[in-house]
Amino acid sequence: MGQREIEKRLKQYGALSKKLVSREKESRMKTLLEMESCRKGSHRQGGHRQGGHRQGGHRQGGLGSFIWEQVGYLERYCLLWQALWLAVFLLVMKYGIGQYDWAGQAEGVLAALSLLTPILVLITARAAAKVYQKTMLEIEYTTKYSLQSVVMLRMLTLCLIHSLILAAGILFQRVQFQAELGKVFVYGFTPMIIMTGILLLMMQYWSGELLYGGATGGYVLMAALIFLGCTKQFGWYRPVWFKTWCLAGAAGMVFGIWQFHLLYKKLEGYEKAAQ
Amino acid sequence: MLEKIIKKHYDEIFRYCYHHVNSFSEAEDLCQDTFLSFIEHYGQYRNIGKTKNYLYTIAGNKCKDYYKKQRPLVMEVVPFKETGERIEDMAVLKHMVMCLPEEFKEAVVLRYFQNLKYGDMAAILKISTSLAKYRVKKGVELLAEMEGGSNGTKRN
Repeated sequence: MGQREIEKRLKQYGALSKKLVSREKESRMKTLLEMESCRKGSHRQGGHRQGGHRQGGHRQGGLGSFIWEQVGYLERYCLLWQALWLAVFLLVMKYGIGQYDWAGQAEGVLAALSLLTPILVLITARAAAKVYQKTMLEIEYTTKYSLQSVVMLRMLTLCLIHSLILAAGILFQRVQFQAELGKVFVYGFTPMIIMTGILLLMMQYWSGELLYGGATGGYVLMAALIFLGCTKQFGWYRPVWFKTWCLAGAAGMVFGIWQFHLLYKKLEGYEKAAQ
Repeated sequence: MLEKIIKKHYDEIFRYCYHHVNSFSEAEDLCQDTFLSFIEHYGQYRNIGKTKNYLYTIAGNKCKDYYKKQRPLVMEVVPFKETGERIEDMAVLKHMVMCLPEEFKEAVVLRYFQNLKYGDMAAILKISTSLAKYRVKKGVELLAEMEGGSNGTKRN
């Protein structure tokens, strides 16, 4: 008998076994729920919870332990990628800046800077995608913290870590090459800010793999625009466009904050619906 | 909310336990233990993922504990309303799956009996999606070999 036949029979068995149901389901479920209500009762007596509502977004432990626990969420692979990103960033900028004159045509360096920074957002898009799955709503509701507080704190932690890494990299470059700090910051941060805003927008509609795919697509689009900006026809990295970049950065910042606010509201809506 | 979770996943987890222990009463106990552990530990649950996967992980551990206690394997009659040759086929197939090495058995049970996606399987087994696919494929291959071997023995 071939593998296909085996697979067919396994599927048949699987379909048939769906009819299997526990004979004592109701009584066992009742016991479980009684045990849970007893457990809740003892927690209330212990002063951990009052009236079954979360206090300040979490049920037990202080704010410090909550933050520490959520920072620990940043998975090892995520931190490894961030470290690798920093190494690549420093290498590219070191060898790039050494060959170009910052007062003149430095499109290559600036484009490299613009291309590298959104990768930092992309790296953590998978972590963000994990944070935000509709199927996890129920587990969030039964675990210690509210979905809203968990998502917001994790996103803020990621933003803070990214900003610190990027600022450290940029400052390091500036010390080495005495480059214009403002210029490096604008070309470095603007694409990252815009990318973060787009990710926050996507998070309101998509989750899981779809969100990660969307973020990757967003990055590819941004990379295409950056390459387009390097061409003589457009030349977006010429000094004449610097003010436009500043405006784009400011607009991106407003857009990101607005999307963060909308996501916060949306999560609030989910929680109400789940209650 | 907890009631909803139990109602939603009870049957699925029960079936999963049943596929491992082949006994209704043992499966009932293991399923109950799984949800008890879930209730006791969800306060400490830190990582984020699907509830179902978390329950499967607990149930898998409970089944492993069950095997460690070396209880005799109870083979009940296949509990479907099927007759004759088909029952025999199903019983043989189930027995063959139970004879697979642990990692392939788990992969086949999750994929075909529990009808899970590879991504969920990978999350439950804490392996990569590609490894989950490999284990299922290899499990089916081994089953085909076993089937071929048993047919050959019958013919002899």
